[in-house]
Amino acid sequence: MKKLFYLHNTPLAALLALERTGRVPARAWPAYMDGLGKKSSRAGFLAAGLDGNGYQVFALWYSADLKLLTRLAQSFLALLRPERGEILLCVVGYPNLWIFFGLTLYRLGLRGAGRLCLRLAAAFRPPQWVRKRQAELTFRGQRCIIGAEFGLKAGESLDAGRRSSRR
Amino acid sequence: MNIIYHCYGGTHSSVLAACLHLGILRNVWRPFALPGFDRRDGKDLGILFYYGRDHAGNRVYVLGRDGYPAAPLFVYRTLGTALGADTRCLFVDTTPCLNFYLRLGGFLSCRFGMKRLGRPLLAFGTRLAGPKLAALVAATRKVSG
Repeated sequence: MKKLFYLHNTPLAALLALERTGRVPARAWPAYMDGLGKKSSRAGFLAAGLDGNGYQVFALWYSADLKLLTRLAQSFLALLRPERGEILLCVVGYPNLWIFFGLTLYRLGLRGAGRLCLRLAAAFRPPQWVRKRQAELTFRGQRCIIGAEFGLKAGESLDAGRRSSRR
Repeated sequence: MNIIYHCYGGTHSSVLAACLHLGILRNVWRPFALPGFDRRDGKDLGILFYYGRDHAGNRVYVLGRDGYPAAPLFVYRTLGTALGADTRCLFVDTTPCLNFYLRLGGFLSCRFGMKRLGRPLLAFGTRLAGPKLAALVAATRKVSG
């Protein structure tokens, strides 16, 4: 089955994944965020269901540097060796500033102000924007970043002849 | 099984541990001859580097994960669950084996590019950390079979 992973360092990944599958519309985002605990706001994983294109949509978020998180996900996807071409990794971005402010305020513990920002975001947002947005950064399109950089066998010493690194 | 040694930059203690595990490191007086030792920067964080197979057939990797020690395990587990893949993997954090000299040397060498100042500290720190790392690797080998 085709799988789509939404990745971010905030629960925005979950919100967009749920919106894509039609389970949580944008106007219900504040309620969803209120339901998340402090721990779940920092890190979480969600199976959002199937979208209209037959993709099984997942969301993964972890409060860390987004570039590091992306590289970790790419590395582990390569390590776990899924069937290539059937996995899409989508590093999401903030659709607008209101959502950025809202999620930042939630992260700071200012839930009331965060809720207000998310409501404003839902009010000012074009309703069909998410359908226009395509999942980018495909696994197939990315250069394989895991590989035999140093092909040394157990017990083999460097002095026996250094092999050229290949990545 | 996969064994992943991870530390802040994935270039000092984790490299030493991986090389000890594979039997590559025999002389702690010359750590700079090791592949990848003190040669990685911020762009390599999050990338897995394959080092080889040990005697039990386990694949040994090195990973830099900055200041997020729980992130690799979390991402690996969640992706493994979602993909329904074989997730047998051992994550070994090598930062408890670090000492002051390794930390300072690594910081100067990798963050500020002051290799001349950082490398002697790294060489000294490596010698001090050797027994701790060897104990960690021995425990890892025991667990991984």
